[in-house]
Amino acid sequence: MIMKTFIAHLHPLLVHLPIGILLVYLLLEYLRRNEKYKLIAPINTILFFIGIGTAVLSIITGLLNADVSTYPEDDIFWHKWTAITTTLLFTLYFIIRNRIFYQPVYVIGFFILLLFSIVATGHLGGVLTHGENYLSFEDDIQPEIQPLQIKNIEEARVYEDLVQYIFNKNCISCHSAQKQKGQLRLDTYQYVLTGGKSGQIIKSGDIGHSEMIRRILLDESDDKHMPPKGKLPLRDFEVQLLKWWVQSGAGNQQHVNEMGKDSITAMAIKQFHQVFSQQSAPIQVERPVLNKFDPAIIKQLQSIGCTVTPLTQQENYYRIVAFNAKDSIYSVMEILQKIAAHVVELKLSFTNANDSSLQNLSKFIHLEKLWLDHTEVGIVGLKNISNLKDLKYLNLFKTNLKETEIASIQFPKELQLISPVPKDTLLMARDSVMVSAIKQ
Amino acid sequence: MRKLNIHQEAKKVSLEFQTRRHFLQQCRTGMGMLALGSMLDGCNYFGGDKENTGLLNANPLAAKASPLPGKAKSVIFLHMAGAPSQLEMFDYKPALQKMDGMDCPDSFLQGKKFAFIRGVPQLLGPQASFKQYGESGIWLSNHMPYFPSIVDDVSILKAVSTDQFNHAPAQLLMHCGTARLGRPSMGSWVTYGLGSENSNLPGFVVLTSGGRNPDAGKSVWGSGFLPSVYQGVQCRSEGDPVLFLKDPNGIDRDMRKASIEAINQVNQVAYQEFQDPEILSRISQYEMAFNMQIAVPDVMNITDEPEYIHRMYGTAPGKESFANNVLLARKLVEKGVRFVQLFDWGWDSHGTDPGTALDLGFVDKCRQNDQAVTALLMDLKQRGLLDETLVVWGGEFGRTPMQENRDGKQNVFKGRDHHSDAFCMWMAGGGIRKGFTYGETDEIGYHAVNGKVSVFDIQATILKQLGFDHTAFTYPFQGRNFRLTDVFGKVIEPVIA
Repeated sequence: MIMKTFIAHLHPLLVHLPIGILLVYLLLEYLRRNEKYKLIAPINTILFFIGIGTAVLSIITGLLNADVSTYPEDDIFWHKWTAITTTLLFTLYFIIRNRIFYQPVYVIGFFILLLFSIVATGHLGGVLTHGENYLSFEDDIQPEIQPLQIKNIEEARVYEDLVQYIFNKNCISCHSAQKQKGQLRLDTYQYVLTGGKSGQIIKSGDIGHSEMIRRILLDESDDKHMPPKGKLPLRDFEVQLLKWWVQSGAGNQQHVNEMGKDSITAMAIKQFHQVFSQQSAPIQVERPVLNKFDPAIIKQLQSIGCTVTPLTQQENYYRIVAFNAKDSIYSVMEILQKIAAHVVELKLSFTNANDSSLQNLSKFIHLEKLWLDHTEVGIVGLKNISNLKDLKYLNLFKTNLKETEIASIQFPKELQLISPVPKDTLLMARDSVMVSAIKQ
Repeated sequence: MRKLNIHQEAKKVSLEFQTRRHFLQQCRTGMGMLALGSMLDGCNYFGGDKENTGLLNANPLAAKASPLPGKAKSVIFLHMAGAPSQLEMFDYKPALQKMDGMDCPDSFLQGKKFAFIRGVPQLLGPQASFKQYGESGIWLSNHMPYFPSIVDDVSILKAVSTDQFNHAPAQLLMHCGTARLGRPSMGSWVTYGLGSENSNLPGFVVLTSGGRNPDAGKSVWGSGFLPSVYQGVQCRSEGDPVLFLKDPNGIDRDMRKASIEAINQVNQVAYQEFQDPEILSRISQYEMAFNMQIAVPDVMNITDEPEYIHRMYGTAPGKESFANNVLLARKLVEKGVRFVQLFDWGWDSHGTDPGTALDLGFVDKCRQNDQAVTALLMDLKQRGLLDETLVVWGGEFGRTPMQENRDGKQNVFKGRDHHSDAFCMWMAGGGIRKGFTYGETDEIGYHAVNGKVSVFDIQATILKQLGFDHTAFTYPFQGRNFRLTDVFGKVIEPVIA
């Protein structure tokens, strides 16, 4: 058995010989057609036998390797049969070469076929060991993980919904069909049980002897720590869930509510559900490209006290803050409306903004955040906002608007509205918490 | 030609080195390169940072865009100077309670150096009771009765570590990225990078409470090698907020304005002549001082705040207190101040007297702190400011799980020594994850066992939330580019929402 494994492991070493030798053979065969190189012929026959001999050896070790390794059957299938076909094709060519030699079309066709099959065999073998994305111009592709769709976490399946989700999120970029670092795959339950290069990674019911758990718990600076440096480490609750799953048998049938759990695990499950159900907000919003405008407008705004900041250094969109123009909002808005489409954030807090100075507000079609807190804005001015589709944030704190007035306006659904009245209820909640805490 | 002897030949060669011909023949390439270098704008010609040179002619505090999209626009950094005990606030260690009074195992002491502990100290159990709070189930001590109502808004870092165990160097490390003097503080970096959105107020304000300034002195809000216009402006919460801001007797505001304009004209001429950026700093500081005469007393006045705000924060106008400063921090951020730095002295709980005892003075400290801080987060939230304001809370290091035995003798009161291996900090708002804890310490809270973060990681995370890549945000000084995090730091991704 050990001998068999040893011989099988010679495969990756041996394969390079037939690839190299047969490619050289092919090249010399091509050159041989030229009168000048006629003398190559006997040497090339020797080359053919060495090449075919090593090819046969590679196939034998390869078949053994398929037996002892954990590579998926499907992937091995194509590599195995292209290798055998290539070897047979070369032999076929060798047998008939003198007969068709003088018909150049066949020869070139045969050469291309042989070249193709040898490259294909080599490539398929490479994919097996290095993964599909090894030869690629792109960076490691991070799998896109959908937020959890589970309503009731208690009824979720422990392996499929929790453990596999954690694997998908953190591990399968290196351990899946595309790539098998350490010959480990974590994309299905079967592979997880099979383990990797250093054997099984999970000993059910025994976290102390489970290699996977050991690796996760190693110090982050340790070379063996998983996920490795440069990747996000697992969160505490993810680790807790994996430990719990291994400890309670590492099965793939149970549901969350069927398995016993201590308070830490219960908390981890809750956190898992809470954190991964959230749709992570896109950091940058797609906005249409706008033409540049006369930079004198910015100068003008600055001269009356506005701060004008590009949203990021490349974009043609701006954040306008008017703290230092607090008594001249009417003129600020007169100038601003010339570049209304470019304004994404507009902060008019603590200014004399009122209904008449805000009459052009509906022109600011890309406005996403608007601060009108501590201003004299009224319901008339506010109505100008209702057609702003992109508005996500509206601050009306300490304005004279009434709740009923605000409710009468149809705002975009996603809008975060800061209401004019300080929330006394919030303070009451705080007091009651304090009272109950002191009692305890 | 007459043959030269060796002495004559040597003399001839050495004379050749002094001739004009030699100079022209041999040195023209070098001279040419020097000339070319200066014409090409030094080493900055290819992909150099043009912004730095452009900056000199503009107002140094003008608002600038961050290089990356940033969630936070301002920062309130609450520094508990003296280092609060994490074991009585956030890091619940029931096992330590069981080991209370036992000798500290040797393995914890070997190769360790403490500020005051000598010989073998005894372990000291938590001097507080703990409960889980909020949706997130975060453990909090009974010293913080208000905090549970906002615990679902903060991310607690439970395994922060530093490499300094004395106050001054640890504070410098926390704020300037090095334990030694001379580097700019975090607030200076941020105002340098982002400027200010309100030109009537300083971009970086410092408020202190607790009776004294932090041990590291004014260097923790200094501008280091950055232009001095970016240094923190210390405001007092008692009396005149900024000293020497009032007009002198007999000088009215118009006269003041005329004199400042005259001085600045002279300064402009000097700047045209010498191109020294410090002259620009001086010009803008004169202008700002003039504007601040009106704006600062207004924003620093908390007596106008409604009664419910005072009840909420626990403020008492006219006194120097942490609560007053916290309320001021909110007011400043509301008016567009970029970085507000609070220092509250009095957390150095050694247990040498009642004021530093964990069961006496420390509890008072917690209570004052708890109410004001909770009120701050709630107030920012109800004003819709928490999304754009990053609040950071913490000390410069933590405290030992052992009872301090100064000079080998048990201290009279319950107290703990300085501890650099693991302590707690929290962050909230400004795009930080809500209701989350990151990191874990061992059974007695001595070492970090996972999620260990360094002071540099905290700095990197703060910069990231403001829209900076901490490895790319640099300032050239003495021939190399410097950055806040030096060569360290990793953004703490898990606490970012």
